[in-house]
Amino acid sequence: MIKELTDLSPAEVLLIENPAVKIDKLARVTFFDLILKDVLKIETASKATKKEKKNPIVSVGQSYSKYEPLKHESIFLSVFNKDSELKINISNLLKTAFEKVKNSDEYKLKYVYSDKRMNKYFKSNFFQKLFGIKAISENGLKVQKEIKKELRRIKTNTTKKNVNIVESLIALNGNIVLIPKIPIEIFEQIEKKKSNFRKENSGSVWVDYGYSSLYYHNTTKNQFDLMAINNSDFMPIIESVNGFDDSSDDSGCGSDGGCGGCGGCGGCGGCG
Amino acid sequence: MTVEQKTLWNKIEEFQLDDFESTFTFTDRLCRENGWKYEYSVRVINEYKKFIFLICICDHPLTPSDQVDQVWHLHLLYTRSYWIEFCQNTFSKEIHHGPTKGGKNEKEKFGDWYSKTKELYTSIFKKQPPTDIWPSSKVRFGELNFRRVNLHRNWVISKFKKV
Repeated sequence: MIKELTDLSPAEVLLIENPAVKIDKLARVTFFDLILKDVLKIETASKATKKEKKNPIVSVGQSYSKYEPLKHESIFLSVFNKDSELKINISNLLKTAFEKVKNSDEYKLKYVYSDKRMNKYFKSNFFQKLFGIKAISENGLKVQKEIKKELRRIKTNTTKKNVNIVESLIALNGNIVLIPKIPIEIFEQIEKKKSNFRKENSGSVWVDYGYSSLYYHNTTKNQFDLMAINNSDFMPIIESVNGFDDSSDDSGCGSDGGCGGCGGCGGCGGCG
Repeated sequence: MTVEQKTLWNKIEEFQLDDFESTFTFTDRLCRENGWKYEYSVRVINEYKKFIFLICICDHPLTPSDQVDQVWHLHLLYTRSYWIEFCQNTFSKEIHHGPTKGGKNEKEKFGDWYSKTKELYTSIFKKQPPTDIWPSSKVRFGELNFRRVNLHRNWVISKFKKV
């Protein structure tokens, strides 16, 4: 397997594979990669309603304190850097993340291309730099071809439930999030391999990828899907958190039993 | 924190102020009305929950920071959420909001309560309250000159900061 598929982050791989990829896909794989690495964790209360399950709680995972995030991962971690004990609904976490980004191009330019690791795959001449444009390099094109070929092979074998593909899936590390709809039989094989590996290497320190969270990623229609419906660029969230003028019509006061004409409250020096 | 307190805190922490299926949520409104970033608003809401928890476990009055107070004011507007779902169903206690009556004595009283609130916060949560949400008493009671401004008709320009 080519080293890019084991060493680069899912967002970086996606960008090389398709430089026109939109922010919803980049953000989605980045978020679930952080879940797999146990930097963040997803929880739903056992008594959660169907509605609540669509919007689970996110908090920091065990690897958070030691993890050094890549720039494009930082938008999901910024709120926890200020309060690591915070528990936040995924819908709110997405809004905190996307208020830092105006659109797909800005996210790619400021957060993904800006990493030195991307210099091997993308280039820009003087004029392109002026306009913030990046073009894929010759080496990038070569790697792109190999990534496409390898991902196609893994996706096809995964869909066919070919158990021999398990080793390749494990080798992908976090890039396993790039493989859609992994069948439960294959997940069970991965868990089994992981369990054996844990027994054989009990003295070693290694990152525990939480594949059960990935199963959630593959099977549950979650907040990412809900927000991305009919809009591949997450513009509703980006607009709602970056331009509140757009929501100025939302100022009505509900007549839930009647809202009295309020004269306003005085400057409050504190409350008991 | 005792076991009972931990249970109560978990309930308050899990309480949802946002209806995430609505297009304009509680947090959206808080951002718009205060000109806050979404990330900051989410953090202030969490501090508001901590403040309410402290009121629940404490037998003397407490005073919030102005930021936390803004969340409280807004929550009070969502009457069903505040009185029924939060006070009644979450911690079975009526928590009333009492604005100052004005005057020097009131200012000193609230100043003292604010300090006690931050002390209690530190002893219960085992960490200092974040200063960008719980500022010093000097800032808390020295910068209270707020006014509702129609941004369709007015510009708001920041004053130069004193060095």
